[in-house]
Amino acid sequence: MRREIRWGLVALLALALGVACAEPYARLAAPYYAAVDRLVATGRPWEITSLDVRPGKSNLTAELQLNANVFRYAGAEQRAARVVGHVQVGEVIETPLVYWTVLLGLRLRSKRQLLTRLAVGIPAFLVLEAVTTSTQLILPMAQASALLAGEPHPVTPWDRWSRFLEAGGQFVLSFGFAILVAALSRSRSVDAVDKWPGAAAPDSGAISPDY
Amino acid sequence: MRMPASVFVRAAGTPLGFAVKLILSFALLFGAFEASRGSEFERFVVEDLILEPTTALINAVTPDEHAQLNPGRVISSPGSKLHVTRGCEGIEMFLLLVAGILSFPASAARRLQGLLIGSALAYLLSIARLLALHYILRYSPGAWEALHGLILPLGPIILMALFFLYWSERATPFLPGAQADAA
Repeated sequence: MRREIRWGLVALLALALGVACAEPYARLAAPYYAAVDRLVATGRPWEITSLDVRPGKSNLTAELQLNANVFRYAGAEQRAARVVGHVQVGEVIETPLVYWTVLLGLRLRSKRQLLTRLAVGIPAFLVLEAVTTSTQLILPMAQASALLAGEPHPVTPWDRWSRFLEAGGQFVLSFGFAILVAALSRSRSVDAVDKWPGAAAPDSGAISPDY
Repeated sequence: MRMPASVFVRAAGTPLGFAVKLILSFALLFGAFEASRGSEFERFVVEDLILEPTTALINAVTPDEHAQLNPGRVISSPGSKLHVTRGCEGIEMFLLLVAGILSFPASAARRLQGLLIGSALAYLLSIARLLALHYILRYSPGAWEALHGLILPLGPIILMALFFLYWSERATPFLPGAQADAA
């Protein structure tokens, strides 16, 4: 079967899975995002009160909602603002969908390589989730803090990061992480596998990421 | 004559090298486009090249829609208001395409070919996505969540990735003599 067709079918399956599992996945992952965001909030004048899946404003979507209090300074007794961060459940599942599809779709030479890939892949995935979905939920807290500090139109580093993710960076990072993990989890015996296919089979005529 | 493996490795690098280059070049292109936000260039690309043709196409296909492009990048019709926000205009497909093609070793001619065909595809996909969003919002809001949140952002990117796979398989290493050896 042609490579494009094979990957196309895999992508279709992944999309179908994503549609079916977006909301359950967001519910399942919510405690992890909350833990990461609480860690980021440590030492900052932010207090996360809840993080769960709720209907969106328009009632057309379900979304992951982070509710938080923002204070003027760390340790202040009275909150200065209450903010809501939200990410649609469809966006939440985008990272795992791309990452795991690429990582598990790349050719495997042995069960051992699969296990190594999973062993390296799971911690890398947790990092990826932290730098994508978790950081997007933090955005309104950073904006509120900047407003409270007197900036009328704040564009914080969190804004820039969020824009990067929304402009395709989330896809690029998920893909890049998957390739990085595949490369890290290779064994010396299958070293050539991590070159382009042309390196392993010069007469194949292919030099593309299908190893 | 068979080409030594090392020639391919030097020419094409590794998938890891490609991934790193892709991330860096995408970040650079993204930074450049973000810097142009609010400029005439950005308005021309987003409004004149993407949003206005989309609105015109909606009216051409369904004249009863009376769609209009309003300030704030809102495509509105009597039954719907589609607010095209940052990241929904389809620019990311162009950025991904350019970053992918620049990161992959290929001859200048192949790169140019990939950019031309890929840009046309990205443009069509951008317009098709906005059309789909408009009609879904208007006629099937119940399907909005799955389509707007996942399928319509990711579907076109997957199609672009498949185009990239197709293009990269046919792209040749740029090392002088590699093609002659392979032949």
